[in-house]
Order: sequence, then C-alpha cells, then structure tokens
Amino acid sequence: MSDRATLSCEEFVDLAAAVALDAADDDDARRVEDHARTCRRCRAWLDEFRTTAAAMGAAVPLVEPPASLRARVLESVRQEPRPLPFARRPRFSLAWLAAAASFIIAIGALAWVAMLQVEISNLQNSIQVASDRAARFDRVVNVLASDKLSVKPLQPAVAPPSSSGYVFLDPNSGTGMLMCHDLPPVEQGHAYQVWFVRGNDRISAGMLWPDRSGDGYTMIQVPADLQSFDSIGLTDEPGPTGSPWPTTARVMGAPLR
Amino acid sequence: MGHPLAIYTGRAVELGLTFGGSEPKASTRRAIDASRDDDAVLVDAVARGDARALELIYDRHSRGVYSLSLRLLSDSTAAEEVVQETFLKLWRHPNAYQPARGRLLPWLLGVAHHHAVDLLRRRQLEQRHRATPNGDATSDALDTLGLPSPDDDPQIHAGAFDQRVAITRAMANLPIEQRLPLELAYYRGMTQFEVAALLGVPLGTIKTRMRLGLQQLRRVPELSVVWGER
Repeated sequence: MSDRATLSCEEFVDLAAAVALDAADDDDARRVEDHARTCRRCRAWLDEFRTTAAAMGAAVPLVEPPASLRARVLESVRQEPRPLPFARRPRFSLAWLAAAASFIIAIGALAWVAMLQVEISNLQNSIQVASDRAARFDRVVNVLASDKLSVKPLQPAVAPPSSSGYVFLDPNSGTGMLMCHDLPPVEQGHAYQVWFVRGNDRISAGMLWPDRSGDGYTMIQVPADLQSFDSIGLTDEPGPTGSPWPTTARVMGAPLR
Repeated sequence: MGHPLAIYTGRAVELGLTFGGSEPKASTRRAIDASRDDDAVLVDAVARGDARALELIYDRHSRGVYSLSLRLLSDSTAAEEVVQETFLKLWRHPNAYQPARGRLLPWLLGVAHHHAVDLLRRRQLEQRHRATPNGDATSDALDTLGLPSPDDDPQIHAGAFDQRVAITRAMANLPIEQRLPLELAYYRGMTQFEVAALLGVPLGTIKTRMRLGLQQLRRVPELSVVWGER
C-alpha cells in the first residue's frame, strides 16, 4: 500500500482501476479521490475506468424488475424530504466567470471613481478657500498700498485693556481692513459687528469672526463720505449677518476725526 | 426490444443498453447526445424537487440497475433493495452526478454496484459465490464467472443487444490473466487482496492486470463511441 504523501500518478492509475471495480478498501478509495481532486489527468483516468466498469455492468443479461418495485421506490421518494430548490451545484462556464470578474472590476472601478470624485471635490474646496484667501490678500494689499490710506488704532471700551487693534481705511476704493488682538470671546454663533458712527446713525461695515485667541481681521466697506463719520466701533452681535442696529455696548473703537 | 427512452422521446432509435453496432450512424450519435442532454435535464429537475423527473429516470434505467444488482447478489430481495437505494441516492444527492464526467446510466450502475458489493461483503454472501481455489481452480472459476457466451445468451441470440455482444466478446477476448481479476472483482465483489490470494499472484500484479483489462475494454469501438464518449 502506498503512503498518501507519496501516491504518484503511476500508482494512482493502478489503484484507480481497483477503485473503479469496487475492489479497493475505503482508505485506498479516499486516497484515489483525494489525488483525483488535484490532478486533472488522473481524474480523467478514474472517470474512464468507472465508465468502463459500468459497461461491464451493462453487459449482464437483462431482467425486468418487478412492477411492485417501481411503486415502492416512488413511494419511498415521496416520503423523503424534497431536495431544496436550486440545490444543484451551478456549473460555472468561463463566460460566467468572465462576466463575474467584469462585474467585480466594474464595481471596483465605480468605487474608485466615487473616491476620486470625493477627492476632486475636496481639492476644489481647498482651491476655492485658497482663491478666496488670495483675493482677500489682494484687497488687503490694495488697501495698504493706497495713497489715501488712513490708519486708526482701536482702543478698548469694555474690552480688557490688553485688547488692541487697527483699522485701515481707503476712501478711494471704499474698502478697509480691521484687525484685532485679544478680543473677549463671544458666544457660539455670535461675532463682532463693525459700525461707522455719525451722530445717531450707525452704519454696518462688516462682521469680524475672531479665533479662539481673540485675534482676527476682516475687510470692511468704507462709506464714500467717510469724513462725515465721527468714529468706528465693534459690538457683540448674533451672526452671521449681524444686527440692523447695535444691541450691545461697544467693545472697542476709534475716533475718526 | 426498444429502450424505454424511445417511449418518452418518440425517437425511433436504439439507446442505452440496446445501442451499438460496429459503426454507429450519425443519427444515432445525435440521439445519444440528445439522450444525455435529456438525462441531464431530468437530473436538474430532480434537483429542483421534481418527483416526476425521477419517475422518468427510473423508467429509463431501472432495468439495467436491477439486472446488475441481481447478477451480483443472486437475491431478488437484496437486488430490489439496491435499486431502491440507488434511486434514493439520486433523489437525495442529485449533485453527486456530474454530467460533464459521463452519462447517467454508468453513474447509476456505479452506485448500484457499490451498494451491491457492500451488501455482499456485509452479509458475507460471497462465501456462497466464491469458487474454492483447489485443483484446476482457475478454469473452474472462469466457468462460473462473468458473462454468458454470446452463443449461449438467448437475448443476445435474438440480435437486439449489439452493445452487450460487443462487451461480452471483448471480455472473452481478454487474456485470461486480465479477465479473471476483472470478473472476480466486478461480478463477485472480491477485493483486490482476495483476488490476489485466490489466484496466488502478488497484489501489485493484480492491480496492473485490472488496469490493463479495463484499458483493453475501453478500446472496444462501440464502447468508446457510444458509452463512454463525453
């Protein structure tokens, strides 16, 4: 008897003939089946031997089975649980395998495209942020480069003494910039609103969103008749658009005259 | 006698156990392919739980299965038990039959043979069948084994079983040292060890002779064209 690990194809062929004739023991039959599962050529040998052995079976004189046997067999089948539908193992053709592979590749490609789209969208957002930032810097540069530039230091009103800031005003372009340091924190959803003050008039010039340190800057709209205004100030107002009229005390400010 | 398949298919051709002839015609080949396809379709239906499909398969192939079982067991009750187990196996495990690896009837005969040999061994019926190796044991065994001579078989004499004639003649033409191991193993259910002991030949030699005998049978034209073609 050959060892399982050393069962060669030559040994297989002799043993397979005995297995096909049901002349081998169960252990040899198992070894032959195991080998046949891994060797297509030997699988073909085993199938050939079994078919030929069955031909010997078909050569015996024919005898009609008793009619009662038919009824008994069919009755025993009816009493058996029915096989589950679709229990037969599907026979995958190369075409099916190719189709399945194509489907998987297509799904992978779609997932990859979706991932790329998300990445592109993120990049587009980053580009937009950078573009906005560059535009703001351009406006800042334009303000700072103006020959009519007016710079006013901001003084704390109710803000801590450490709070400071400057306002840059360019009447030529109607644009200005306001930057602050150490502003008191505001509630979530609140921001500082910038006002131009003239008598009892209060003209909103823009919103300032300080960071966690209380620092920040913002571009503001400068009225054409800037010289008619008395001062500029900041109040704590609800964002994002601010209030039509100051609702809190001035935090910082600067006289314009 | 026509094969039962002709009843269901309406084809006036000889199929299954009655196929054969020295040179099968193209129409016969087509009918054989159709028969194989029909069997595969029926087994697919069995897999879906169609009892009527199993009934059709029984009507097609039960005679061959019963005849082999009876030949092996010489006991009609045991042979009926084998037939029942064979068709129940197809009902319970239709996946066990793979059309790509051969036709349905050889598979059914293989299942039946395995059951019958198992019964033989379990019930020790072989003691009743085996020839005792004494005197001219080999010729005695040959006299009581295997298939009847084509000249002695009344069914073959009637001329309706060309394939059986071909196989029987092929068996008869095998060298006796190949024919004996095949017949002792297949028709008597003896193991290769028992055959080697009975014939007083080394086990390896018996294995080789079994393999050579099957290969020789496989070369029978009717067998390769009609029975084993895949």
